[in-house]
Amino acid sequence: MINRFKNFLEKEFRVIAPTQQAMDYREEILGTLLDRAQEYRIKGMEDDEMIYNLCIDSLGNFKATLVNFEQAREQIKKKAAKAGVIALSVLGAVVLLTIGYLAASFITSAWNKTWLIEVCGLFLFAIVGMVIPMPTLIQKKNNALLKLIVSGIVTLIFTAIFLILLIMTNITQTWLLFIALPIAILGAIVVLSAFTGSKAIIGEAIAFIQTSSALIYVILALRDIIPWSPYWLMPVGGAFISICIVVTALALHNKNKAVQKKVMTEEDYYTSWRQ
Amino acid sequence: MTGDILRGHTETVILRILTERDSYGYEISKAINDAGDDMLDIKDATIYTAFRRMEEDALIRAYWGEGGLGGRRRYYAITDAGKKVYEEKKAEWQKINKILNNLILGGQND
Repeated sequence: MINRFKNFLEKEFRVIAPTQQAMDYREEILGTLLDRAQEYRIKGMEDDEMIYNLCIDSLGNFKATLVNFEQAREQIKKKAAKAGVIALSVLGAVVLLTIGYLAASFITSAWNKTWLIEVCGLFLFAIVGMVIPMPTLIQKKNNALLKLIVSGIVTLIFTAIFLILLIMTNITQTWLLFIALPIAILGAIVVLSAFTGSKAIIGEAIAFIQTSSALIYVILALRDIIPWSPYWLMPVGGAFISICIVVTALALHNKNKAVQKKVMTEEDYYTSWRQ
Repeated sequence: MTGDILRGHTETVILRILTERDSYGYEISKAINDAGDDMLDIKDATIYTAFRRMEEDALIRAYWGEGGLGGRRRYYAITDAGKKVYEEKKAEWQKINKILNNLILGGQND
């Protein structure tokens, strides 16, 4: 009996690739067939042919299972191939970048500056890597992760600009860029929320206005563009605008509710009967 | 019809069996069909398809153990994710069961 089952399974499994997983599956099925045949014998069945047929019948639509099995393997293969292409592309880009960096360094002999090519190039790869999953995240409405990615992208851009300004120019107080960083992050998050239709946009817009007014004031005052006083009114103005936004949002919300109520009242009028 | 309803819950049923102890294909298949009062005939293909899917979703994990007429058996164990999914499915079923009892049995549902 065991050989008949083995022959049957060998024949059936020829339609799929002989992977370790497939052979494990085949062995598992053989075990089940043997257990089932044993059970029939214990119940008193003696006709081997009948036992064999009943056992094979118990497998059901076995061919469909094998096809599914093969399809899953094909998908894994495709994913692996895709991952391989991505890995090769990244490796190729890094090699090209390094060649460009070395060439620029040898030609100009400005080794103290050309390393920026390598660093900014790596930043660019990281940004591309973070942008790629964004459409999927937008579809899945994973706003928390999207905001994290956007914050990461803005931070990398600011760091790259800071390094370029620091190394390539004589501009002083370039570190002030990092004070402006929260403004840019919050601004990007507000734009993202407007794009995705997130309900958190009002809170984020208020945070953006408040932070911008305070930090722009600090940056301008530190650069001696404006005096500290009376320009402290800037953050106060920011707070005032924030309050106005909250009041307007509440007023709009109440107006919408009133309109909805009116529609309902009219609907009641059309659908109510005296008898 | 009974078989169709059960087939829709094959994975939940398997998860329930595995919450009791680790088990293997034939034992699980037998447990399901024995509990079906001869009204069910769930084929191995259905069960093994469910195994593959649940393994992919990390609801169960497989390992080879001793026993069986072939010398070794492929056992299945429920994972923490599987336990969580089982609890969710159980709560869902209890809710549906209650609603259907109310709708179909009406006043007899006491």
